Amino acid sequence: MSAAVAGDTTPVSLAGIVLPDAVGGQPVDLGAGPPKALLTVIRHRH
Amino acid sequence: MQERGAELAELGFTLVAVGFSPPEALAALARHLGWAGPFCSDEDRALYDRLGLGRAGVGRVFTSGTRAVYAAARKRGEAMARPVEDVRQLGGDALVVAGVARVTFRPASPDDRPPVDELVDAARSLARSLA
Repeated sequence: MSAAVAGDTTPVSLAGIVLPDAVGGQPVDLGAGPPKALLTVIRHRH
Repeated sequence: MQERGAELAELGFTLVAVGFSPPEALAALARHLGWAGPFCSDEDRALYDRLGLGRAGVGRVFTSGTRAVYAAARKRGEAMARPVEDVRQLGGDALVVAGVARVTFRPASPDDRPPVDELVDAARSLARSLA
């Protein structure tokens, strides 16, 4: 198994990324909030 | 990851999942996982592009590590369904403050995701740097 990738600290603006919340139904503006978030971005579903 | 949700919440971080499936499919996945927070649908993969989460070559997708993960799941008796989507799209993780990803983890292969402990430690370090 390969070593886990290190975190890249280069800032990346998420301005303009607004995604629908599949659970709550409301759009989530990642460029405007929540104030602090851990995004876990998944691969594909089986 | 969710097991550490309370710890992340104490640090002020909201746990947000993102996938590129349609919302209805992700809603079903969220129910299956018992996911408590937002689970966003990014069908255009705008976030994937912005964070630089690319698509892996076939050789990178089916590495020995990836095969070991699937073999371990089979050994646990977990049914392995065939994928229904782009298996080459990679995921990743990012710590975001005020709309800016401050730490981004970009795996080179599917088995290359950072351990949860590493993510929580990074969140703690970031929160400390903001205090």
